[in-house]
Amino acid sequence: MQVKFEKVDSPELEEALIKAQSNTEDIKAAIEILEGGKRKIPLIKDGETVFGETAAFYYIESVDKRTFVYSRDDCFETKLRLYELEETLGAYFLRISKSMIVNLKKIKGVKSDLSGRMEATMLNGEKIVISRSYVKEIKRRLEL
Amino acid sequence: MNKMKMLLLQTSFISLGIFLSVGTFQAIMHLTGNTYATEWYFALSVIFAGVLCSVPSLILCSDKIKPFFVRIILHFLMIFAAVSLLGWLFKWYTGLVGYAFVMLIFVLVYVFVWIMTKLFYVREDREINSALNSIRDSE
Repeated sequence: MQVKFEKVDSPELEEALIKAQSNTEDIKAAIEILEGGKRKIPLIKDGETVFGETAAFYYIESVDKRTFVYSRDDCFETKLRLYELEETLGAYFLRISKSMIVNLKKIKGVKSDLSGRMEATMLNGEKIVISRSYVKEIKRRLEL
Repeated sequence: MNKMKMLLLQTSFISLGIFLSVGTFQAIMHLTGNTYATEWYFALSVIFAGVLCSVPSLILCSDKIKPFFVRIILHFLMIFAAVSLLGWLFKWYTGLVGYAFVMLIFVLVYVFVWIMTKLFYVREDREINSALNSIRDSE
């Protein structure tokens, strides 16, 4: 891809335009770096709409057709569906089961048991289960 | 890893384990001046045994049976029955002593498969954790 750099005089004029045939994982990662993790999406907390920075999300879970976003020590609801979030969130957000997306940057470590079940421990100590069928995609995303 | 991949992995480990055990036994017999010849269908029967013994692994994936050690016991018993049946069908043993010897090999193979499976998972976990270390947020 050809990259052009043009110097501007003020921060308000700073912008990046990426022209590509498809929004690949590399491009998503580049967008995330350029945005500095400051992308926000509308969330609902106690009936009030608030905007949450996606970089602070630990994982997103779908329960009974409702979508919940979990941060370090808080839980929000969002009107967005899991598949919509999967498209819009950054390259470090990844589907780990039919009903869950995780932020890879918030995983402290993973451990598999003999049954093949993989468990991820998050930075806040919470544990979530990663379906075996999604482990291949995690490894691909981590370039393993 | 999906269930099909897990079954293929188990089949490979079981067959490899049986070949290693019997091969080692044959080498010992040869070095001590004895012979232990196998029938023409032995290799095929080992692969068949690998396939048949990997199927009960599906019980390990079932969340309906808890705790996990109950699943392992059920899994062990099912494979024990499968090996007994296969041994009788393919004439792996004659008499009680032969049966006890085949079952001893079975237990060794069973432990070998679990050790290999655990090592595979440990290596995979280590790879993933190492990659996660480089991208993890500091909190």
